[in-house]
Amino acid sequence: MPTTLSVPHLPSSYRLHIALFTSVTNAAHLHSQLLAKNSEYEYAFIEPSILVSHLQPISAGFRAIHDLLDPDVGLRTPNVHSETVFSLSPTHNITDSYRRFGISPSSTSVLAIKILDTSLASYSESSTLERLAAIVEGTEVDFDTKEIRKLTDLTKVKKYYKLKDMGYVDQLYKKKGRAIEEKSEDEVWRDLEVAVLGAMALRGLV
Amino acid sequence: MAPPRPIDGTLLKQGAEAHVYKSTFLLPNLPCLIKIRPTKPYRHATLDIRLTKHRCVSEARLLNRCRSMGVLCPAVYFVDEKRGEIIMEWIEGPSVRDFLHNYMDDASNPSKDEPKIIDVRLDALMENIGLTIGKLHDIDIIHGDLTTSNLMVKSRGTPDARASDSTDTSLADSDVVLIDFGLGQVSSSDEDKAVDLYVLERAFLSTHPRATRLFNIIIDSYKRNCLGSAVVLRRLQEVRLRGRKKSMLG
Repeated sequence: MPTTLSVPHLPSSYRLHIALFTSVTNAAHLHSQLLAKNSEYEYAFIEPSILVSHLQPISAGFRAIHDLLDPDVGLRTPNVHSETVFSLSPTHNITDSYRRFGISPSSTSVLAIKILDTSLASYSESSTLERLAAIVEGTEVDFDTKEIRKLTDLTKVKKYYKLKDMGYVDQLYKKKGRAIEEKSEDEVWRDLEVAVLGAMALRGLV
Repeated sequence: MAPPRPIDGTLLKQGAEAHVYKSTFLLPNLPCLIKIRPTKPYRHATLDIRLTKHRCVSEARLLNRCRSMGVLCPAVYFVDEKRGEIIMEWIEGPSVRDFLHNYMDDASNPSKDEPKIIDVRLDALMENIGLTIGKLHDIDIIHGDLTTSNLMVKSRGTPDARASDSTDTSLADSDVVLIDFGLGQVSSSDEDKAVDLYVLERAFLSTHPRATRLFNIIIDSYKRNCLGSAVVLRRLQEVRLRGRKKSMLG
């Protein structure tokens, strides 16, 4: 089942509709429709291998809606869905952000997000969710951190988010021959998660 | 200046520089802290925007650098630099200041007949503070406002451990978390690092008069753990004699 949620600090009428798919077969088609700017296909299609937790895409959605509603900021890309993909990026390069964080013709898994203002008369939750479940041809799995981490490509995440300095102190001390407490797997993921969220939040400030 | 917007959260503290709220981020079950620097009406508008933005951005950068390099501090979730707003990770636990006050109360309470055990725990906490500050200085970050209120005690693993029940928190299992980088900067100079320690020493000794012994544990731990500690501690002697301002500016 797709997940529907509204986010604290934003008008509660704005909702994210999120679904995660694996074994996707029509990525090339979805990609071409995005390039053709077909409004029927106006979704944020995200490449899940660059995700480390379920907070990451929600945070991107938060930023996209935030910027959409803030008259001083505004969108830097055509719509709130492309802005969501752009918001995953730690840099200002829009083309790069689509290429790295968005769907590619060869993607085999896809995270799809539809953002809608539910106060509009045309909104219907059931048809939105139906359409979301149908637009991607693949197997839908739960949208949660456990499923996402099965798909994570750590090399890509570290490269795109420029995380080579992560855990610098421990490495430094280790090099000096000091015993370093090993972190548990959960702690390592948590560190990675906040490092990525931080890199997204600091886009444009660095 | 972007207009202020109502904040959805509970006001925790209000300082000269910023207001701090507790709220949630993204999901109702993810607690967060919102630090917002309100406009100061007595300042010229253009200057106000510049200062607010600059401080907000520099704090967010430092927090992020610090956290990702492996020194514990709140992670940055979201920055709205135009409004001077930072949403960051919620750190559960008492500040070292509150912790020490609780401890002092308990210690003066005659019904407590286990002061030794508490002492050992307290020493471990001081040890930990020295280690944390040593790490911070090894990645060339100067906190700028090291006081006992800006150090938090976070218990590891057991998030439901009650904050007020300080003596029952097993200190061996807690981490020291640095907060409030509003006056921080990146610098590798031993002068800046020494002044950082000096500020902590002054804060420590003035709020906890009996704490000389405790501060010595911090320094000792810093000496053993921080890679550049020798030069910094030598410099600290000089700073103690003359006070923290060397450049005579500001």
